[in-house]
Amino acid sequence: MEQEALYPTERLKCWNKAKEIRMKFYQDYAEAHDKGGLRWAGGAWTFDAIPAGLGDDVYPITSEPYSATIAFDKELSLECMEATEVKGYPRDLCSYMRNYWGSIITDKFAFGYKDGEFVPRFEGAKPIGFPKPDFIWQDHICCSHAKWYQVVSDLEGGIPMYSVDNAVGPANELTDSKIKYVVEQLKDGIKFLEKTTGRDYDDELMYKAIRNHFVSTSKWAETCALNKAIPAPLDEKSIYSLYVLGTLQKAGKQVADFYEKDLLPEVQDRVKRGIAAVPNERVRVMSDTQPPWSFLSIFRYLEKFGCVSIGSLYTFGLIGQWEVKEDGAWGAKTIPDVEFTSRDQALYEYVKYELHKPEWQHFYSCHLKSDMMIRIAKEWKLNGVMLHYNRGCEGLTVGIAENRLALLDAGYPVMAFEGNNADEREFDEARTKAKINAFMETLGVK
Amino acid sequence: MEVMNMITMGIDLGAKNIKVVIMKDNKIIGKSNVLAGFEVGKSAQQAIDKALKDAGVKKEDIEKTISTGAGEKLAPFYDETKSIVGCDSLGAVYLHPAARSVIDVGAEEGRGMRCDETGKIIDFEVNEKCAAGAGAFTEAMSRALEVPLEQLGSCRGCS
Repeated sequence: MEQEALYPTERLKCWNKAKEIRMKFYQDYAEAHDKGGLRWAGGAWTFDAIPAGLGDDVYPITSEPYSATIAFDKELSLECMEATEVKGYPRDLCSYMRNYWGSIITDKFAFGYKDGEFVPRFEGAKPIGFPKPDFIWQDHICCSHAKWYQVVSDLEGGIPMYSVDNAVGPANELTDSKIKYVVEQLKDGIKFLEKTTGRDYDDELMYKAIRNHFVSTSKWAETCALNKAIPAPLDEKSIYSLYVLGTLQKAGKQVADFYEKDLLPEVQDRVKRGIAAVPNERVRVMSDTQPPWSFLSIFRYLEKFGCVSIGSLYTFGLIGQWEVKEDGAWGAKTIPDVEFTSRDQALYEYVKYELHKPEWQHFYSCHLKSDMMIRIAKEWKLNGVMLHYNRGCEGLTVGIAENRLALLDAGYPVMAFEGNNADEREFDEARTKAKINAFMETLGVK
Repeated sequence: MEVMNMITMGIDLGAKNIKVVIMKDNKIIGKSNVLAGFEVGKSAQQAIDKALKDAGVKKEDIEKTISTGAGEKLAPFYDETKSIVGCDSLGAVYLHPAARSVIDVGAEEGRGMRCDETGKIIDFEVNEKCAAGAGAFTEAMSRALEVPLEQLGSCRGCS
């Protein structure tokens, strides 16, 4: 049911810049050794300001967004999945992890060169092997995180690995000793980095990276908060392409600058001028957990009904840092107004800030997640919720059926659909669209 | 929902059966139920012909046709499609006005719904993978165990 436009719309002006930052991230990683630099691998949640102290020529690859990139490349993803299964790893493990392992096992990187230009493999790049990292810098809160890289290290012949245990409990129970428990691990980690790389550690570089981290995470949240506006200036399919920069290198200057100086002002301007992401916006929903990356078209399908998905706790809170403002509403976390004077003090501020990450809270209790989701549903003025029962990510899906009941109790219609963020074999597009049809009837737009 | 002085048709192209209902002035005047078979379009036409004959009306008399079910787009003709859960709840409330919870065990899908007094869906769930518990499996077990389908439920705990 195509519906007439109610609001003006236009493309994001900073779209291409976001794409360039993403491609440069992978190119820098792939070419790091050519420039005498270092490569490191770790998760999107890791404390990435710490390796930044080794120098400006140290380039990361973060596992989850890289694995999502593979998932979008269905042919490569299937190769990776099957190669992992041949090695004996079961299909019910984290599907990001299986894509990542498969990329190492098959020695196929998701990017390469086409006529001298660095492009994704699915755009016709000549395949190159998976660039081996020099060390692994990981954190551990979800059930797979540390194990993920233990296998990576083994597959690559024994890469030095350091993993930080940051599962210290929810932010509302944070104590000085819990913060110090993580800080002490980071201090030991810095010694590990110095020993592993043979480089001297520069605290000033770390201070700058922590500042970048504060800016990236706060400004991303501020941007997401602007989506409370009707019409929403951003739709979730676009949000996926923007939030990913924070999952690549939230402590990177290029990401902090993009969020603060490009994206945020443009979205503020869109709100001011009433520019809609979906010009026929009639109803608003949110999703949850990672989407099925090879079927992002379902978000465009929603638009046929005038339905905009304004985001999710996942896209808002995976990178964004939030706080309750004076009016009781959620807003961007205030950037700490402190000068860094010592390694200990900087790490303390960094950890204290980061342990409030919304997406970490529901590892401790599904009720904390329900509370945050209901808050979003109210403040972003939603008509309903679409929950992805994601077989590919146990960490983010645990307790999701409880979230469904809580949302229903709060008065929000909920549609649950089964799928997998990175294993397309577990997603049924036709049946999901049939469910969306029924849900749109429920919301009164079909 | 009152639709006065109007003859309407509903076609449900399910995974196993095709069901057609014809209504006039909000009353059922004809219906049919045929196996979907391998040629769904042909079977749907048969179901429509049977229902028209049962109702004593012609195709030209039908003012609006709604198609639903897994094969909704394979109906020989229709004006609109509607989701199966939406039709389930409307049908349940039509037949049993006090119904607020509806369970439909389809051949390949099990569906559960909560609805209001008008048949509007409040909440629904549909199993996504055809597996044990769906209607086709239940019927197969009924035949394998040589227990009439209607008695299968009472067999629980009897082994």
